[in-house]
Amino acid sequence: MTQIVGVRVNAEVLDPDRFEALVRDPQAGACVTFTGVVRDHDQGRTVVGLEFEAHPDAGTILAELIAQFCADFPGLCAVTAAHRTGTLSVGEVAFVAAVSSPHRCQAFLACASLVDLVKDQLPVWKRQVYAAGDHEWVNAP
Amino acid sequence: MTATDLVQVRYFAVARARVGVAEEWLPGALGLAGIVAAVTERTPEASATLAGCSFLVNGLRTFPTDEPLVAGAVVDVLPPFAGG
Repeated sequence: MTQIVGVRVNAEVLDPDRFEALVRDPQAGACVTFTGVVRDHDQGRTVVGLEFEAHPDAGTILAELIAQFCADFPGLCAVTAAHRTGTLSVGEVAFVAAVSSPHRCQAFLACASLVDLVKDQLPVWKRQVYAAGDHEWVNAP
Repeated sequence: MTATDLVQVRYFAVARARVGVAEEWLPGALGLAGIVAAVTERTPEASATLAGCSFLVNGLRTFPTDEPLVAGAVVDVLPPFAGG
Protein backbone atom coordinates (compact mmCIF):
# COMPACT_ATOMS: atom_id res chain seq x y z
CA MET A 1 0.00 0.00 0.00
CA THR A 2 1.52 3.29 -1.07
CA GLN A 3 1.85 5.92 1.65
CA ILE A 4 0.40 9.31 0.73
CA VAL A 5 1.97 12.07 2.80
CA GLY A 6 2.15 15.83 3.12
CA VAL A 7 -0.34 16.71 0.36
CA ARG A 8 -1.38 20.37 0.45
CA VAL A 9 -2.25 23.45 -1.57
CA ASN A 10 -1.61 26.62 0.41
CA ALA A 11 0.65 29.62 0.86
CA GLU A 12 3.31 27.87 2.96
CA VAL A 13 6.87 27.96 1.63
CA LEU A 14 7.87 24.64 0.02
CA ASP A 15 11.15 22.98 0.95
CA PRO A 16 11.89 20.16 -1.55
CA ASP A 17 14.29 18.44 0.89
CA ARG A 18 11.50 18.13 3.40
CA PHE A 19 9.25 16.49 0.81
CA GLU A 20 11.95 14.06 -0.25
CA ALA A 21 12.41 13.14 3.42
CA LEU A 22 8.68 12.44 3.62
CA VAL A 23 8.85 9.73 0.95
CA ARG A 24 11.98 8.00 2.30
CA ASP A 25 11.15 4.41 3.09
CA PRO A 26 13.22 1.37 4.06
CA GLN A 27 11.81 -0.44 1.00
CA ALA A 28 12.62 2.40 -1.38
CA GLY A 29 15.84 2.25 -3.35
CA ALA A 30 14.91 5.36 -5.32
CA CYS A 31 13.43 8.75 -4.46
CA VAL A 32 12.65 11.17 -7.28
CA THR A 33 11.66 14.73 -6.50
CA PHE A 34 10.41 17.30 -8.98
CA THR A 35 10.79 20.93 -7.97
CA GLY A 36 8.82 23.48 -9.98
CA VAL A 37 10.50 26.87 -9.69
CA VAL A 38 9.44 30.35 -10.80
CA ARG A 39 11.67 31.26 -13.74
CA ASP A 40 12.65 34.69 -14.99
CA HIS A 41 11.33 34.48 -18.54
CA ASP A 42 8.45 33.25 -20.65
CA GLN A 43 8.08 33.45 -24.41
CA GLY A 44 10.87 35.97 -24.70
CA ARG A 45 9.65 38.30 -21.96
CA THR A 46 11.28 38.98 -18.59
CA VAL A 47 9.20 37.69 -15.70
CA VAL A 48 9.63 39.02 -12.14
CA GLY A 49 7.04 36.89 -10.34
CA LEU A 50 3.98 34.68 -10.45
CA GLU A 51 0.72 34.88 -8.57
CA PHE A 52 -0.94 31.51 -7.97
CA GLU A 53 -4.64 31.22 -7.30
CA ALA A 54 -6.22 27.91 -6.29
CA HIS A 55 -9.81 26.76 -6.20
CA PRO A 56 -10.93 26.51 -2.54
CA ASP A 57 -11.23 22.71 -2.93
CA ALA A 58 -7.80 22.32 -4.58
CA GLY A 59 -6.24 20.58 -1.56
CA THR A 60 -8.99 17.96 -1.48
CA ILE A 61 -8.83 17.56 -5.26
CA LEU A 62 -5.05 17.05 -5.11
CA ALA A 63 -5.48 14.35 -2.46
CA GLU A 64 -8.10 12.63 -4.65
CA LEU A 65 -5.89 12.85 -7.74
CA ILE A 66 -2.99 11.28 -5.85
CA ALA A 67 -5.16 8.50 -4.42
CA GLN A 68 -6.29 7.63 -7.95
CA PHE A 69 -2.71 7.94 -9.19
CA CYS A 70 -1.49 5.44 -6.59
CA ALA A 71 -4.23 3.02 -7.65
CA ASP A 72 -3.14 3.39 -11.28
CA PHE A 73 0.58 3.11 -10.42
CA PRO A 74 0.87 0.18 -8.02
CA GLY A 75 4.13 -0.70 -6.32
CA LEU A 76 5.26 2.75 -5.21
CA CYS A 77 6.41 3.17 -1.61
CA ALA A 78 5.32 6.74 -0.96
CA VAL A 79 4.00 9.76 -2.84
CA THR A 80 3.65 13.42 -1.97
CA ALA A 81 2.79 16.62 -3.81
CA ALA A 82 2.22 20.19 -2.73
CA HIS A 83 1.44 23.42 -4.52
CA ARG A 84 1.85 26.98 -3.34
CA THR A 85 -0.61 29.80 -3.64
CA GLY A 86 -0.03 33.53 -3.46
CA THR A 87 2.68 35.77 -4.85
CA LEU A 88 6.06 34.16 -5.62
CA SER A 89 9.31 35.70 -6.81
CA VAL A 90 11.76 34.28 -9.34
CA GLY A 91 13.58 31.31 -7.80
CA GLU A 92 10.85 30.40 -5.34
CA VAL A 93 9.40 26.88 -5.34
CA ALA A 94 5.82 26.73 -6.64
CA PHE A 95 5.29 22.99 -6.78
CA VAL A 96 6.91 19.86 -5.40
CA ALA A 97 6.17 16.24 -6.24
CA ALA A 98 8.16 13.34 -4.80
CA VAL A 99 7.87 9.60 -5.32
CA SER A 100 9.77 6.66 -3.87
CA SER A 101 9.88 3.09 -5.11
CA PRO A 102 12.04 -0.01 -4.79
CA HIS A 103 13.73 0.65 -8.17
CA ARG A 104 14.59 3.86 -10.00
CA CYS A 105 12.67 3.29 -13.25
CA GLN A 106 9.34 3.22 -11.46
CA ALA A 107 10.17 6.34 -9.48
CA PHE A 108 11.29 8.35 -12.55
CA LEU A 109 8.23 7.36 -14.56
CA ALA A 110 5.79 7.86 -11.70
CA CYS A 111 7.15 11.27 -10.75
CA ALA A 112 6.94 12.52 -14.35
CA SER A 113 3.37 11.19 -14.66
CA LEU A 114 2.37 12.75 -11.36
CA VAL A 115 3.69 16.16 -12.43
CA ASP A 116 1.76 15.95 -15.72
CA LEU A 117 -1.39 14.87 -13.88
CA VAL A 118 -1.23 17.78 -11.45
CA LYS A 119 -0.53 20.34 -14.15
CA ASP A 120 -3.43 18.98 -16.19
CA GLN A 121 -6.06 18.50 -13.49
CA LEU A 122 -5.40 20.59 -10.40
CA PRO A 123 -7.55 23.75 -10.40
CA VAL A 124 -4.73 26.25 -9.99
CA TRP A 125 -4.11 29.33 -12.12
CA LYS A 126 -1.15 31.64 -12.44
CA ARG A 127 -0.75 35.25 -13.37
CA GLN A 128 2.62 36.21 -14.73
CA VAL A 129 4.06 39.58 -13.71
CA TYR A 130 6.49 41.05 -16.23
CA ALA A 131 9.46 43.33 -15.66
CA ALA A 132 7.69 45.88 -17.87
CA GLY A 133 5.01 46.18 -15.14
CA ASP A 134 2.13 44.46 -16.94
CA HIS A 135 0.76 41.02 -16.18
CA GLU A 136 -1.08 38.19 -17.88
CA TRP A 137 -3.02 35.07 -16.86
CA VAL A 138 -1.19 32.04 -18.24
CA ASN A 139 -3.22 29.77 -20.59
CA ALA A 140 -6.06 32.30 -20.55
CA PRO A 141 -8.59 31.79 -23.35
CA MET B 1 -39.01 32.90 -10.71
CA THR B 2 -38.42 33.73 -7.06
CA ALA B 3 -35.35 34.61 -5.05
CA THR B 4 -35.12 30.97 -4.02
CA ASP B 5 -34.40 30.03 -7.66
CA LEU B 6 -31.00 31.63 -7.48
CA VAL B 7 -27.69 29.82 -7.85
CA GLN B 8 -24.29 31.08 -6.77
CA VAL B 9 -21.88 31.63 -9.65
CA ARG B 10 -18.17 31.89 -8.74
CA TYR B 11 -15.57 33.10 -11.22
CA PHE B 12 -11.87 32.21 -10.94
CA ALA B 13 -8.67 33.78 -12.22
CA VAL B 14 -9.03 35.31 -15.70
CA ALA B 15 -12.79 34.62 -15.70
CA ARG B 16 -13.17 36.83 -12.62
CA ALA B 17 -10.95 39.48 -14.22
CA ARG B 18 -13.00 39.57 -17.43
CA VAL B 19 -16.48 39.29 -15.93
CA GLY B 20 -15.54 41.84 -13.28
CA VAL B 21 -17.01 40.12 -10.21
CA ALA B 22 -15.82 37.23 -8.04
CA GLU B 23 -19.32 35.86 -7.56
CA GLU B 24 -22.97 36.62 -8.13
CA TRP B 25 -26.41 35.03 -7.81
CA LEU B 26 -28.30 34.24 -11.01
CA PRO B 27 -31.56 32.40 -11.80
CA GLY B 28 -31.08 28.63 -11.86
CA ALA B 29 -34.04 28.34 -14.23
CA LEU B 30 -31.78 29.62 -17.00
CA GLY B 31 -29.77 26.41 -16.88
CA LEU B 32 -26.00 26.51 -17.20
CA ALA B 33 -26.18 27.37 -20.91
CA GLY B 34 -28.58 30.24 -20.20
CA ILE B 35 -26.38 31.57 -17.41
CA VAL B 36 -23.31 31.58 -19.66
CA ALA B 37 -25.32 33.27 -22.42
CA ALA B 38 -26.65 35.93 -20.04
CA VAL B 39 -23.21 36.74 -18.65
CA THR B 40 -21.74 36.82 -22.17
CA GLU B 41 -24.45 39.22 -23.32
CA ARG B 42 -23.85 41.47 -20.32
CA THR B 43 -20.06 41.44 -20.65
CA PRO B 44 -19.15 40.81 -24.30
CA GLU B 45 -15.44 41.29 -23.46
CA ALA B 46 -15.65 38.07 -21.44
CA SER B 47 -17.05 36.10 -24.38
CA ALA B 48 -13.85 34.35 -25.54
CA THR B 49 -12.81 33.62 -21.96
CA LEU B 50 -16.17 32.08 -21.03
CA ALA B 51 -16.12 30.00 -24.22
CA GLY B 52 -12.82 28.48 -23.06
CA CYS B 53 -13.92 27.73 -19.49
CA SER B 54 -15.14 24.51 -17.92
CA PHE B 55 -17.85 24.41 -15.27
CA LEU B 56 -18.53 22.70 -11.98
CA VAL B 57 -22.01 22.48 -10.50
CA ASN B 58 -21.78 21.54 -6.83
CA GLY B 59 -18.26 20.28 -7.51
CA LEU B 60 -19.14 18.08 -10.51
CA ARG B 61 -17.96 18.77 -14.04
CA THR B 62 -21.04 19.89 -15.99
CA PHE B 63 -21.54 20.83 -19.62
CA PRO B 64 -23.81 23.78 -20.42
CA THR B 65 -27.41 22.78 -21.21
CA ASP B 66 -30.83 24.36 -20.72
CA GLU B 67 -31.65 22.02 -17.86
CA PRO B 68 -32.62 24.17 -14.85
CA LEU B 69 -30.16 24.20 -11.96
CA VAL B 70 -31.32 23.43 -8.44
CA ALA B 71 -31.78 26.52 -6.27
CA GLY B 72 -28.73 27.20 -4.12
CA ALA B 73 -26.38 25.27 -6.39
CA VAL B 74 -22.79 26.50 -6.62
CA VAL B 75 -21.58 27.03 -10.17
CA ASP B 76 -17.81 27.41 -10.62
CA VAL B 77 -16.44 28.99 -13.80
CA LEU B 78 -12.93 27.58 -14.35
CA PRO B 79 -10.44 28.79 -16.95
CA PRO B 80 -7.92 26.23 -18.23
CA PHE B 81 -5.65 25.20 -15.35
CA ALA B 82 -2.10 26.51 -15.19
CA GLY B 83 -0.51 25.07 -12.08
CA GLY B 84 2.97 23.70 -11.65
